[in-house]
Amino acid sequence: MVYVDDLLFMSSCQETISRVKDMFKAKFQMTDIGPAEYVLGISIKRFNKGMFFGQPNYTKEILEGCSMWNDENGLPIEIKSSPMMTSWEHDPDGQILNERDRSEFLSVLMKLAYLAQQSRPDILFAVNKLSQYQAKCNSSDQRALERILRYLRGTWDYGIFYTKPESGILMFTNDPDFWDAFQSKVNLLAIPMQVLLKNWIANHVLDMFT
Amino acid sequence: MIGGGAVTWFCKKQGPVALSSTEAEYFALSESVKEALWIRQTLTEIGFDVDRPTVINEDNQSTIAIALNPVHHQRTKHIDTRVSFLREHIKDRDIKLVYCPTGDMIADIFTKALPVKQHMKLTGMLGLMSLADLSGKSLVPASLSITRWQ
Repeated sequence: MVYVDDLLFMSSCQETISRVKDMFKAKFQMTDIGPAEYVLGISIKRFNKGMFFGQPNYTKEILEGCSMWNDENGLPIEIKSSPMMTSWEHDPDGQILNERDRSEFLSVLMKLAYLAQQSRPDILFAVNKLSQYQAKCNSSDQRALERILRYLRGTWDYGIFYTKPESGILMFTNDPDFWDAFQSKVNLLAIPMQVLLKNWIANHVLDMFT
Repeated sequence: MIGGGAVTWFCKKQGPVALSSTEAEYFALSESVKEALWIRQTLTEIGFDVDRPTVINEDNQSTIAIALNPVHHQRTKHIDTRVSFLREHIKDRDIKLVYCPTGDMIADIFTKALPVKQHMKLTGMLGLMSLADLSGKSLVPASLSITRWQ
């Protein structure tokens, strides 16, 4: 048996989604797991007024990974309301970090860079600023990173909320010609998939039995 | 920004040395125009009508004046290609420069460490919200009780 990974259909029209799904279901055996809730590490939550995209779980994981979720008594750590002090500057005379601290610093910083790029533009500047001192990071950078983590502790479940437009803006159609053309495209897609699978089986699966 | 939320953002240390703040604004502006053109192409590809120009907010009035007024400026002769690039896309109605006072400049959050109040204001303007607050009754979290940016 060969598994093909996820497919995601997008449209502002529910009917279009159902029709496309039916066409694919008729051609391939597939499981419909409903509306997307978690795609590429990003949680999607739907509300009447719009949609939320964020990575609260990932943020919590990062904080727990460096003991910045709760303190040793199990109480939440002190939070900060902004990710960086307004006058923050890298202190060239700071204490050099030992190998372990240095590698932890860089690892956490890279996780935050990913987070900032995916769903948290509010920490982007602070993360970017610290990234400029990666090669000569010292205790002053470590303290600045700690502040970002304290800020995240207070805002861990933040994500971007997109409000729903007044009316659908993505085009959709009930034109039968469009659906005929689409149907033939699904058919066209089916043929190369079969060829591909046959070649793949010939190359990989049969090898294992010979 | 689409639908009250940010869709693309980046923050980069400026490469070339600028001779004036107007010139520095031009580096940033031409980067954002490139990004805007790319988004417009993507939107067109997936079936949106992008007939109206994309609004780009700019907080430096002299930068806008130079982009809109095709006269030769002694102080900007060396940034000529960037200005021509901008003028061309303004003329083609791909983009539209709009003046935006510094206090409402969302992109400020990417250029400096801000005081708490301003940081929270701009965070809200980017469309960032707490999931707990969204799931509760109010749409706008109490910590960010500001009017949502349109």
